[in-house]
Formats: sequence, C-alpha cells, structure tokens
Amino acid sequence: MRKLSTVLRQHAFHLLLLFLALVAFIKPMVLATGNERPGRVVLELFVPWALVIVVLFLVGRSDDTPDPAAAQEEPEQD
Amino acid sequence: MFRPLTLILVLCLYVSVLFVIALWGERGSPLARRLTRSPLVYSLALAVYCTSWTFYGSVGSAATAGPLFLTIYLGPTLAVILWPKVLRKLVRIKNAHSVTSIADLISARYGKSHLLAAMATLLAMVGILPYIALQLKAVTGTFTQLTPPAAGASWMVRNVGSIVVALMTIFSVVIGARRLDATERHEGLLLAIAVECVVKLAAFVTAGIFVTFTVFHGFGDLFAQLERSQFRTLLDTGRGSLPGIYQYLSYLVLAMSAIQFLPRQFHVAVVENSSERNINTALWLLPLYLLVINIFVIPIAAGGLLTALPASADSFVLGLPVRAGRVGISLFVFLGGVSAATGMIIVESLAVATMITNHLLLPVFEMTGLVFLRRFLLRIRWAAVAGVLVTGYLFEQAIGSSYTLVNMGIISFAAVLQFAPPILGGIFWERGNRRGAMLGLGAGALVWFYTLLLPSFVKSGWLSPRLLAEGPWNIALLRPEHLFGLTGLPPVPHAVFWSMLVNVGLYVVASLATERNETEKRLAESFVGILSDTRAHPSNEGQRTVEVAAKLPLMEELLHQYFDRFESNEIIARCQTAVGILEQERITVAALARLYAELERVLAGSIGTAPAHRAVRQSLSYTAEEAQQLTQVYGEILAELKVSPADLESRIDYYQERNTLLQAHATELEEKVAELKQAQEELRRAHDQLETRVEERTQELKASNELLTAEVVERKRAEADFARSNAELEQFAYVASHDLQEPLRMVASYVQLLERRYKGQLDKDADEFIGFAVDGAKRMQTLINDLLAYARIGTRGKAFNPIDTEKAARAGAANLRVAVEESGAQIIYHSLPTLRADATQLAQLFQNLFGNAIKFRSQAAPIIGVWAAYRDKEWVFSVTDNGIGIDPQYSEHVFRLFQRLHTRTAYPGTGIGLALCKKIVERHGGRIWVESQIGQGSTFHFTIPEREEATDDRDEGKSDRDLAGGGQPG
Repeated sequence: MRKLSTVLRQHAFHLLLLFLALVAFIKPMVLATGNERPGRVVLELFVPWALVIVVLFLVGRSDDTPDPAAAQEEPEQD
Repeated sequence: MFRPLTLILVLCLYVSVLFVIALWGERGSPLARRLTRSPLVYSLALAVYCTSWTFYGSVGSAATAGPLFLTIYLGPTLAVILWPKVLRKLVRIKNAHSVTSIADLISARYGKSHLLAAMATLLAMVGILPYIALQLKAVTGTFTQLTPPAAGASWMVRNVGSIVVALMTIFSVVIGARRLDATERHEGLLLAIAVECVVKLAAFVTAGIFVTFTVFHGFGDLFAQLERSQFRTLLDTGRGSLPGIYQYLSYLVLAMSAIQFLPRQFHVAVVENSSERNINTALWLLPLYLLVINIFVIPIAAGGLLTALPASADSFVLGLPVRAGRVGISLFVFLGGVSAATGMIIVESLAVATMITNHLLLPVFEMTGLVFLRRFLLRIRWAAVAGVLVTGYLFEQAIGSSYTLVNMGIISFAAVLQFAPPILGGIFWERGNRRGAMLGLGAGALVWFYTLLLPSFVKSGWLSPRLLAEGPWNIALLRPEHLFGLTGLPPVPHAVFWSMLVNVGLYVVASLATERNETEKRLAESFVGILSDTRAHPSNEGQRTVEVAAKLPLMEELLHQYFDRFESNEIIARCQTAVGILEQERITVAALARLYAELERVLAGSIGTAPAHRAVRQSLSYTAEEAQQLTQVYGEILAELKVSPADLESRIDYYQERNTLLQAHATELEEKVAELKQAQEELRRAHDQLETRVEERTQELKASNELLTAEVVERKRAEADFARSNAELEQFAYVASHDLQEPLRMVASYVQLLERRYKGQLDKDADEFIGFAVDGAKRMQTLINDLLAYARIGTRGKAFNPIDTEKAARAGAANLRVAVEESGAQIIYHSLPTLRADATQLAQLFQNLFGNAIKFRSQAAPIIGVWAAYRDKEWVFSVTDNGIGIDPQYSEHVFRLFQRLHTRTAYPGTGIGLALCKKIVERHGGRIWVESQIGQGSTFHFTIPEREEATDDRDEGKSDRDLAGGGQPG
C-alpha cells in the first residue's frame, strides 16, 4: 500500500494518468463509426471518466505533503 | 406558472438565505470556521465553474452538437490531474506573494510589472464582461419562462435584470468586498457559493431524475426511444471526422485552461484556498461533481427532443417540469439556474473588480496625481463591483440575443487561454521573462480578438460579412477564420491554434532572446522553486542593531496612504507578530527585512503585488550599515540552504558570481581609497614644502627689506646731502651774482665811457679791443641777471593766489612788446583759466616761452597760440608756435641749464630761459615738456595742479627748497 501511495504521489504518474485519460476521452471521437448505440457512447465516455476520478481519489489520499500555511494557522484554531 | 411578484419574493428569499449563510460563515464560530475551511466547501465552491451556461446551455449544446458539450467538463478533469503540482504551486505562490488575482500573479512573476498586470486585466475584462451578461440573460430568460405571457408587460418582468443586478451588487459588496485585503479569505462567501453549487447540482439532478424516471421509464426506455427516433444521431461523435476531432480537442484544451485561469476559478482555487490539503479533496470531488451534473444532460436533451418541446433546447431543463405542471420541481430548477448564474456573477465581478482597482485605477491615480484617492480604495472597489455588474447588464440589454453573447462562453474560454503560457511558463520555466510574457500575451490576445471575437461581431450582424468571406481589403490570406490560408479548421480550433502559436512562440523566443534583470531572476527562482523552498533562516542573525522606533514612522506613513491610522497600526502590529518581533525595541537587520517583506505581502493583499512592491521600495529603505549586515545574513542563509546538489551548485555559482562582483567592487573602492590617501599625503607634503618655501621667502624678503631700508636711509642721506649742496651752490650763485653785479657794472660803465670818449681817436685796433670789452661786459651782465633770476625762483617766490592766467600771459607778452612788434608776431589766447599761482613767475614763464617762439621763428611771421585744458585735477597749458622747431631727440636736453642747440652768433642767449621755465613749473608742482619736429614749429606743455586754498610760497615751495638744500633767501 505504501508503495502504491509512493507511486501515486509521483509527478510522473500524474503525467501518465493525464496521457491515459486524454486517450480515453478522445478514443470515442476518433474511432466512432456512426453506428454505435447512443448508450454505448455515453458509457465509453463516462466510465473512463469515473475511473479517472477513482484514481484521483487515491492520489488525493496518498498525499502527505505538509501544508506550511495550515501549520501556521494551527495555533489559531486552538 | 408563477406571478412575477411570487418569483421576485422567492428570489429575494433565496438570496436572503444565502446572505444569512454567508454572514454566519463570516462570523467565524468554531463550527462555521471548521465548515468554511473544510475541503468539502472548497471543492464544492470550485464548481462555480458550472454557470448557467452549464445549467441550461449544456442541454442545448447536447441537443444540437452531441457529446461536444462534455469536453467542457472532461477538460477540467484532465487539468485537475496536474493540480498536485500546478495548483499547489499557485497556492504557495499566493501565500508567499499575497497574490490577489490572476493579473496580479502574472505581474508578480514577471518583475512585478504594472503594464503586464494592466494587459491581463484588460483581457479579462473584455473576455468576461459579456460572459456576465450571458448569466443575467439566463436569469431573466427563465424568469420570463416561469411567468405567464400576460405578465410580460409588468414592471417586475421588465426589470428583473435590474433587480438581480442590485441584489448581486449588495451581496458581492457586503460579503465579498467588505475588507480591502483581497487575499484574506471570504469564508462566508465561499460557504454561500458552495451552498449554491449544491443547490444547482441538486436542482439539475432533480430535473434529470424527473425526466428520466417520470417522463420516461428509466435510461433504458429513454435510450431505446432515442435510438428509434429521428434524433438517433444525438450522440453522433462525428464519425471520426478531422474537423470534429479538432473541435473536440480544442474544447478540451480550452476547458483545461478555463478551470484554472478563469478569474473566478483562480479566485476560488487559489486566492480563497485555506489549505493545500484541500486540493487533495478537490482532486476527485470537483470531477465527480462535473460528472454527476452531466449524467442527466443527455437524458434531458433527449427528453426535450422526444417530447417535441416547442421551446429552445437551452430551456429544456426548466421547460419539461413546467410543461408537466410540476410547480415544486420547476421552482427548484429555477433556483438552481439562479444559483448557477449568481454564483458566477458574484465571484467573477469580485475578481475582475479587484483587478480593475489594483491594476488599472491605482496606477492611473498615481500617474495623474490623484494619490489621495488611495485612501478610498475599498469604496472604489465597491464601485468597481457595481460597475462590472451594471456593464454586464447593459451588454445583456444591448446584445442579448446576438451570436456574440450566445457563444460568449467559449469565446471567454479562448480569451483566458492566453493566460496559460505566461502562468505555466512562469511557474515551470525560470528563463521565461517579462518581455516574453508581454509580447506573448499581447500578441495572443490580438490574435484571439481577430480570429474569434471579430467574426462573432460579423455573425451578429454588426460588421460586413465580406470581412469573413474576403478578408480585410480583399486580402484572402487575412480572412479572420482562415488566417494565412488555413482552411481545414473550424473557427474555435483555428483561433486556438493561431493564438497559441503566436503566444507561446513569442513568449519562448523573446524570453530566450532577452536577458532578465536581477529582480526577475530572483522572482523566477522563487516561483519555479516554490515547492522546494525550505525557507532556511541563519542560525545567527547578528546583533540587534535596528531601532524599531526609528522604522515605525516610515511604515505608518506608507500604510496611511491606504488605510486610516488605526488600521495602519493594526497591520504593523500584525506584521510584527508574524515576524515574531512584537514589542521588541531593537531587532536584527534580518528581522527588519522579514518585517518589510511581510508588510509588502500584506499590502499586496490590498493593492496588488506590483503597486505594493513599488510602494515599499519607495518608502522603506535600509541604511548602508543595515544593507551590509543584511548581505552577511544572506551569506549565512546560503550556507544553511539545503537543496539538491545541482541546485546548490547553480545557486552557489550565482552567488559566487555576485560575490566576485562585490569583491571586485570592494577592491576597486579600496584602490580608490588608497589613491585618495596617496593624494592626501602628496598634498600634505606639498603643503609642508610650500610652508618651508614661504618661510625662506619671508626671510629673504626680510633681508631684502632691511637692505632696502638701509638703501632708503642712505638715499635719503644722499638726497639731503645733495639738497644741501645744491642749496649751498644756489646760495653761492646768488651771492656771487649779486656781489659780481656791482664791479661788473663799474667795469661796463667805464669801458662804455672809454668807448664813447676815445672811439676814433685811437688806432683801429684800440677801437676794436674796446668794442670787445664792452660786448663782454654786457653779456656778463645779462648772464648774471639770468642767473639771479634763476636763483630767485626758489628763494624769492610769492604766495599762490588766484590769478587770471590770461593776464599773466599778456603781462609776459607785454614785456616783449618791442620784439613782438619788430617780428610781427601774433599771439592768440584761448580762454585761459583762473587758478592759484605765483603771478610774477607765471608771467615770466609765458614771457620766456613767447620769447623763444619769437627768437626761433622761421621765415614767416610768428603765430603763437596759448590755451589750457583741465585734466585729472590739473590744468594743462600749451604754447604753440610756427617756428623752426626742435629735433625730438633734444626734447629733454633743452630744459637743462646753459644748454644751447645753436651758436650764440646764430641765436643770442644764455641757455637759461627754458631751465628757468622748468624751475618755475616745478615750483608749482607741475611738469613741462615739448613736442616738436624740425621745421614744423613747437608746442610747449606745462601743468599747474589745482589748489583749494592759498598757500604761503615758502610752504608751497618747500619741496623745491628742500631740493635746493632747504636754503633760505640771503
């Protein structure tokens, strides 16, 4: 799990995810034949979208970078 | 259908609820603070991205252009993937530099350039104001949709836009612009926006569920009916056509940029960010929000089409529940649309108003001498908010249904895309500089205007269609939508391609071609390396040498230009607390630097980074000693920096180079000091030498003076001896002449008696001898008389009384009456003056001069002229004649005693006459000289000084007598 978090925190992973998401979002446009069923097109766009969101959720959870601004304000909250 | 009053009341009630929520959030109770700072509220507020363009326009777009609308939400999802790096950087930069807006960020990165900030502000204004108009149009449009047609003429329906503008202005000012510091988070505002985002999502989803599950029987039924209908191609993605793909890609790029660089997005995501950790939630929650809100776009669009809703596709969201008579859902959807529009209007107007105030008005105030207006900055910002909203409303009224306004969403996206190169380049590429950003942004904005906004004007019917078809001046290569012959792209991809090519190209080329100044280098390093900034402080900051009391008035004076005294003191105290030096009397110079930086940061929060930087630089400064100490402290900071080896090496290279320069400068200064010292030493040596020389010279002068004094004494003695000798000689001559007169008269008498008695009785020789004796006796008598006369000048002179000199001259001439008559001489007198003189001697003087003129006459009868002129307190007399003249070489010789220029036989005389004249003149204190040429006559000049009172002849002639040895008349 820690290894996964480490990978998810890497900027290179973010770039890879961007590339994969871009491909996933463009694919239905490039490979469309005009004979697809409407529901399928929706699924082809929404499913990758949802998957990207899941990965982003994991990326957000994996981040452990300290927040300098929040650290400064902590005493104020007490 | 609702009565207009009911809708207005609902609208006011809804805004009031939002107002209460916002105020509750602003009060800062522990619960409110936890809520407003929660990542949930931050992430939901980011959904302000979804405006009425999303709420109503997505359905319209889906019904007409298929899945293309999804790019507007897929693009942000793609952009969000990079937020862990990009947005975190922006947030940290905002905290470090107190960035207030997107224009402020660009300005802060590129040398705090005012011009760049102004350019960005103008671009944002042009791109965003019509976008606000679009939101107002949506609100008024849905208001009309919910009221019966008969109510169209009512005052409320006609003025719903004005009411919304008024409500939004009050809301924005009270909640969003209560304080001057734009970097301070507006927790209440953020909470209200988040609530609005929840409302619009809930309203849209409600509408979607209603259409999908009430109007139809679920997604299956809906899509089945769609497949069987003529609208089967609703989800046609273009069958892979290139124009469709270009359009799709360009929309993705535009949306990726818009989610970060639209002014309202930047404001919520960066300026209102309270913690970098909130980004982790926004990473997935914002895309999730976008996904959810889009789930029902296609069903609603399909529902509207399949049920043959007569209205425009943009109104399907509201039209379907209205047609079904679902009052509650309709009202809820209306409020959702209002939320979508007002959320955008409030945040966008605040962001743009802040930019206008800080980057357009403030510099104008400073340039035009209206600096006193800086004290009213907060009120001016309120006015700017109202101005933005009113301008948006006027746009809506003027061009409400034009192509330009309807398509303003994507046009605005293309405008803010121009911010992407300078911002992304600014936080990732150190080499990017101000010139590059300025050129890129300026040129990109121009291309955007030409290729996208201008064609929209043509399509709205405001300009001739020939501009698009044939290009300006019929130059096909300049056709706005087919620039340089690029015909394969639809308008939006075409504009994106050219504007980005120009923007990025110029940014990179100009940045590489021009150098950055020191400020730009420092800022670039700070921006690019912001995430690795360890903010190391030196372990030893040196002595506490800075008197805080001496610096406080400067800071107060600076802040008082923008705030009142109380606020100024409060800010200073806050900065002192932040730096940790509150109530300290003396601080280190490093603490002073941090205090100045904190003050600039806080001030930047109110007036923007560039104005704050300039204000602090102008008002707060370091003494030379403080600057030196600061340099030492920075050296220690460098030593304690913990960075990667490569970074450290590059930084050390930079500081070494700087240190080398400073050392070279120090060496140069030392050399100059040494030169100055050497020059001073040489000067001192020269001074000593000069003093020695002066001393020696003084001794020499003393010796010379003594010698001179001795010589003067000797000379005086010699003169006295000479005078005495002269006097004795004169006395001797007088006595001798006087005593010789008697025997000589006897000799002459008897010789003449002999001549009379015996002439002709003796032989011839005896007669001749007796004649010689008589002649010699006569000449001797004449000589003795002349000598006596000469001697008497000094001894028998009379007092100087006022005399008429003409009378004296005439008296002299009268003594020569016989000679005058014999020679036929003519004497002309020219108004001679009256002056103090010895009348007898003066008559004798004239007599001698006239006598000479007659004696030494030429062939012609003598003409003698006498005149006088007053010069320099003396009278100058001139006696001129037409005689034989005198050789100039003898002009002084003639005045000597017994000196003759001719033989006695040629011109008889004793040679005493002119010497006597000279003596008379000298006795009167004057001078005598002659000007003459042989054969051209002579002019004798003599001077008689003017005297105030009569003087005794002895006194007056004292000098003469002195020269004569001080002898007394015998």
